[in-house]
Amino acid sequence: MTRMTPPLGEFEQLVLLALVRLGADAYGATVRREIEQRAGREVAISAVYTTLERLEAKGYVRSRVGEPTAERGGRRRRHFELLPHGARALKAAYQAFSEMTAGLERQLKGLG
Amino acid sequence: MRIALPLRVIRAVTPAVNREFVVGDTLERVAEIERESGERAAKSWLRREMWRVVVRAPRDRFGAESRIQGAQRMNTSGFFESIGRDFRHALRTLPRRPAFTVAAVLTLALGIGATTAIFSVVYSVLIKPLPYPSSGELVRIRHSATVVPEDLGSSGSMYFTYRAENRTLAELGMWSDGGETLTRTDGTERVRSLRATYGLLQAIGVQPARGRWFTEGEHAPAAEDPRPVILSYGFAQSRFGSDAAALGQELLINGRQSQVVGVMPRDFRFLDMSPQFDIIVATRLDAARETIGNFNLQALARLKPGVTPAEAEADLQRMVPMWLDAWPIIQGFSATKEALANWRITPVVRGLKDDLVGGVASALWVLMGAIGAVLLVACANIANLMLVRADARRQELAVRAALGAVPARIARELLVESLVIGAVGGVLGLALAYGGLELLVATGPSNLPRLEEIGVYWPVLAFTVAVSLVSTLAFGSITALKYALNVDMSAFGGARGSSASRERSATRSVLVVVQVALALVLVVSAVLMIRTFQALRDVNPGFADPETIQTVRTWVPNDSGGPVRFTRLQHDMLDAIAALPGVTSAAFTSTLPMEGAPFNNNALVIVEGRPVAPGTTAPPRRVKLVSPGYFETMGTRIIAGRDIAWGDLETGGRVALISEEFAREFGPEPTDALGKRIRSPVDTDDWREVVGVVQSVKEDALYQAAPSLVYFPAFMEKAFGNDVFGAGTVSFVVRSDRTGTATFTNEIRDAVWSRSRDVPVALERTMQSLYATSLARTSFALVMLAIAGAMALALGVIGIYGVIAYVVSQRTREVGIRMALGAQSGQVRTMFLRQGLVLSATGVVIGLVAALVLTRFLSSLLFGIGPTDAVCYVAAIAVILAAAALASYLPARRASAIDPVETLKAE
Repeated sequence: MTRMTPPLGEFEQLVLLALVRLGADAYGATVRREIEQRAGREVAISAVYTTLERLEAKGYVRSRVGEPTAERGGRRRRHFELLPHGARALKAAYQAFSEMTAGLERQLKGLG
Repeated sequence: MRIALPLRVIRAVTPAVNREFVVGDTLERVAEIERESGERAAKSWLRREMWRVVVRAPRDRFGAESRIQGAQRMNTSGFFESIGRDFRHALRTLPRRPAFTVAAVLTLALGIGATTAIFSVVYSVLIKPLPYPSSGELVRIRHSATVVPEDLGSSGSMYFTYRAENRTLAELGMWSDGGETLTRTDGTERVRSLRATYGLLQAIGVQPARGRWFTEGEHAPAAEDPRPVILSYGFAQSRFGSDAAALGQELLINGRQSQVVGVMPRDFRFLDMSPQFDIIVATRLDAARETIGNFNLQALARLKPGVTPAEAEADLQRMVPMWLDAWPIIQGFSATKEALANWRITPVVRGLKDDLVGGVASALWVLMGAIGAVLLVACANIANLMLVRADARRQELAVRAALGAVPARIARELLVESLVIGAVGGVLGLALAYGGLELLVATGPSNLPRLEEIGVYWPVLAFTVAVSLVSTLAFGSITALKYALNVDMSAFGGARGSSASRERSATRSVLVVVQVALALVLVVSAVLMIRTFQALRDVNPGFADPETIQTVRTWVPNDSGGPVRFTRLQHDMLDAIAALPGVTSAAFTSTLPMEGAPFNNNALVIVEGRPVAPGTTAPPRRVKLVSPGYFETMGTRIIAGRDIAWGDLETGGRVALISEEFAREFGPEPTDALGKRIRSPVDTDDWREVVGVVQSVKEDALYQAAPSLVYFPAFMEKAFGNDVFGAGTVSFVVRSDRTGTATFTNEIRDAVWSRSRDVPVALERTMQSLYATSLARTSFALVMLAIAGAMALALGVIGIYGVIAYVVSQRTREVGIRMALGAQSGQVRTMFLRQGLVLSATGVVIGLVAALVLTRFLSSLLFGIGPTDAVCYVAAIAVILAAAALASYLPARRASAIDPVETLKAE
């Protein structure tokens, strides 16, 4: 059986979804870009890090330090990776969301 | 792209563990946006990002810590949210009390700004070590003598004796500053030079940025060309594009082949040389030709480690008799060695920094004291404001405390409010300090040494910010906190004058008295400077309408064929200048009034029939060579006799004019001097007849005595030991309405060059600028003290107003009752007015005593009045009392307008 996990917050969901989409290319800047471009809201980089660190503390993601690149003025990246535990939590959130929205698509679009 | 600041802010607020990644991510995103939407969009995004990060920062940071500690995150975030609320609350409510907020913020800003600016100056000029290695070992060597009032200077013969015989000096060098003629492909140019003997650069110890110092061999009298030259960094940049390109370049200096062997560092300055040198050339002293006379060099030395200036001075004094024995007297000079010994030439050794800043030290310390007093007044004022404010909120706070507000919460709110005031005041103060310093450096007297080293000195800024903030916090929050903790029930009943409020009122009264006393000291100082300035303006400088006299200096080349030919050339150039449109008259002279040391010339002058006592010499006089028409052009009155004529020059220039000071030695009437004959003590000289006496001229400075002057013709036969004598460098003085315009100076230059292309033209100044320079020291002190005085006065007035206004508000009911019982509004007004004046009068008495003691330090800056000048004190007291009366009258009038019915109804 799966362990009991507290439900994910909305921003946590956005961050985890970005990790899924980005795969190996997930680090601070790309996660933020995904959220900005898809969800259409500007986010402080510190918010991304705070959330990712919280998720890491819960055992949902893990991070590793990458290689320095010229574009970043010789600074390194901190890459993040979704762990199975986090994947389960995301899936649960997605299931709950899709169950709740099933059959409501037209209605929801009509809400403007 | 300017992204440095926002990026730095983001970096600063990010926890260290994530800094590298966050900055990297940010840079990456900025680059991305710049590619997609351009630089402007990227910049704007970065600014927004900065604010987003900053606003989130406390939550993110402490959130992270609480996770580590496993504490409950919600609580800390609650704390920061509520402190944010306090800040917003303060920002919202402070503008609603503009009088209090503006007064507090301005007081802080003025206190922080002025103190930081002035102390930065004091630090840069007086305290900071000179920018040379182990600069504490550097000393200046001067020579005093009975025949000259100031420094006699040093001679080449001393150089050799001192270097050979001393036991206390690690290195010794001498120099003179002057100009050299630089020949370029497109003409000639005059450059400022430092002429250094061997040992000067070695003593200073600053290595060139490129290349090397001169070697000892390059100073040898017979050293071969090319002559070595070292450039200033700026000169190398402007002529060769860079210091590297300058190295090894060849220059034609004074017609001799020279080669650049070094370039000094960018920030190297040679003492207070003004303007600084363009080039350093190697002086070649020849021991075989040196004599005792001719003190035309300056000396500095580096002491051996552990040696004090006093020990070095004793060592040098020991060498003076050896020096007198060892060297011959200058040829043709009639004085004997015995007479020279009676000059009592005595070496004076002082630390280089003391020597450099000695003249302004007292003035700067006075300013520092004045500004310190302003800071005290500012702190007193803030304390006062905070006390008044705390009192005003007593009721509100008591109610809130009674309704169950946590005392800590109230205290925090007050603390945050003080912090907001402190922060805004601090930022304004910093801006003020920077602006003030810019202004100071721009308008400061050019003779303020080390002017270019002045900058905001951070520890001072930190200190003043701390002092002001502490006074805000201490008097504001702590008092308020006391209210919050001890619920003062009497507050509910309104202001029935508890004993606590009387105590606070006494504290405030003491603060006001202190403020008034300090303000009086500063206003007295300012008025003293105003009177000094007026006295100086009233001094007759000995020339008229300086704003319409244009001056330019020229140098005839060394190979121009001697005085006969170059004087003819100068005469030709003068004719060309006089023919320019708009010129009323023109002349030339070896030295301009107030021009300063390099061109001044003192010489021994003897009078026919007045024998010099054995073992002494005739007193030296200031000597100038002038062309005919000089006095007319300058507007200097000839009070007896006549001017020099061109005919006099043609017949060997056997005439002279003397100043009033000299003429007085011959009798009470100026005409008594006419017909007397004078010359230098060289026996081969011809006598010259005094044909005229002219009014006193303030040759040195307005505040110095006019010297005893001799005006010789610009050309003379058999004078100063020479067969023919003239001045190779002269300043043309031109009287015209067009003075000061660029076209006019260009025309003068062209007029000079129409007679010879080889004559450098420089130092194009008006007499007005020389005159203003002479006033600069006084006007600088005047402006600074006037600012300090005005600030102290303004703050003092705010203080008095605050106290009386508060007393009035506290006694509203009492006044209502009095008026209901028949008191007249005039009586009420007088009552409060009297209270204000009693406070001010107490302050004035204390201030008076302080001023009498403290203004003695101003003595060196004063002219024409003493530090206890009664007019100044009366004026200052009048100003203070008038201001105090006004400050008390306004609230007193409000009190007298109280409607007794309304007041008692409220009761």
